[in-house]
Amino acid sequence: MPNLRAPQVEIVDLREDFVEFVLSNTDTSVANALRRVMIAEVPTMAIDLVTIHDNSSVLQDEFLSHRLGLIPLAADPGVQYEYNYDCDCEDYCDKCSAVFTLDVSWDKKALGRPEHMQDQPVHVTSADLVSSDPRLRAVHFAPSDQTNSDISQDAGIIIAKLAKGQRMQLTAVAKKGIAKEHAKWSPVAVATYKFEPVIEINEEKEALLTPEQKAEFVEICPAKVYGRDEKSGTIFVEHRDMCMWRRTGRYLRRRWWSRLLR
Amino acid sequence: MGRGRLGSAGATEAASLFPFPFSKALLSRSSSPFESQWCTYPFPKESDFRKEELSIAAAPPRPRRLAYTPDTKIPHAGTFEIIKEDHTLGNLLRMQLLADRQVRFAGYMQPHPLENKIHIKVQTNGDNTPVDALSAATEDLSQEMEGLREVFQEQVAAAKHAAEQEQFGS
Repeated sequence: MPNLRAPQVEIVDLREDFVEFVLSNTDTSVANALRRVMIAEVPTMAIDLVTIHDNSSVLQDEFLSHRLGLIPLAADPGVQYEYNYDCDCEDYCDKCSAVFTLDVSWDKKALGRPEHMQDQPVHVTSADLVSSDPRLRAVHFAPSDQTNSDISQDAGIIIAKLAKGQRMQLTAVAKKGIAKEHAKWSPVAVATYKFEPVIEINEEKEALLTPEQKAEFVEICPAKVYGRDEKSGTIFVEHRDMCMWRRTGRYLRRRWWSRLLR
Repeated sequence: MGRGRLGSAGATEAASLFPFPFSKALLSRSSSPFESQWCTYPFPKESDFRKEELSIAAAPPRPRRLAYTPDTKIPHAGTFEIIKEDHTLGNLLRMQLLADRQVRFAGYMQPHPLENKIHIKVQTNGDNTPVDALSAATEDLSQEMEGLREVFQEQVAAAKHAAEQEQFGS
């Protein structure tokens, strides 16, 4: 193993749906492979087969099934499904798929409404999809402690709107797949990487500066990359990212532009 | 085998029909009134199927993913064709091959954007073959990925623990 590297990882930010980390001691191709795999090769579940029993809405069946496919589905941690094409079953089964049913009619929904809202259209949302498998459901964007409570403001993803007298009844089969085949199976909203800037301060040259010059050095940087230690007065890199153009933002660009105009 | 066989789905169906209530003459190849590229009619012989295809639970055989063609003109050189892979693996393998001192040339290309395959061209200095170089590269990469997975999980656990401590402390 002559060319074995030992990559290092340093977590910068970690949230339920977000992670940012510094990857070092490896090659760019590894970072790019990670990014590409996260976007296109991590298997997820998505609606893949739709049987429409009744659709009197203004959306065509094909349009509707496409919209259903794009709804993100969330499974409980550790839930594993087979690929449908690897499964032993004839068509589809519990091992390789989950069946969602949706039955919304304007008449039923509008019935329970207050009088002044009776004629309003009814929204068909992802919350109306009833899963056959309790471990898999349409994703909720409310915080996880609110998803099943009454205080949740999560209204779901709108699939269609029904006018008076319209009805939508369908069965949708979710299957496992990867985003190489169709982007609906992509598990990520964003996966990206960039190079970290390396800023080194020449300490010999720094020692030649007077305290005033050091203060000026820190002050003169428009992106405020540097900071100064209060006690010793030495310069250090405070906001390393700020030296990259995109992080400094539009505010600074405008300021420079206005300075040019003046 | 020299003659077409039924696809696997058909094979299981036909296999479930054995033993036939038909005469041997009907089953023999010469008596087949019609033979296409894909199937024989009316029934294929039992020997037309591989043993695993005759089982009811026969899974379709995994198609070949990797092929190696030695270069006819350049010594110690050849092209690997990898089916159903793209830049993700191509660039990864190329960079790992280039880190190898025994590899003189390594490059990859996707011959056509609509064909899901890549070609990796490798030339070595003669101390080993391109096949050895590629297997060393894949071995190194899989070990690196294994290490990366461990380090990442370790760091995530540490970050979660730190966040909990912070929450608990305040």
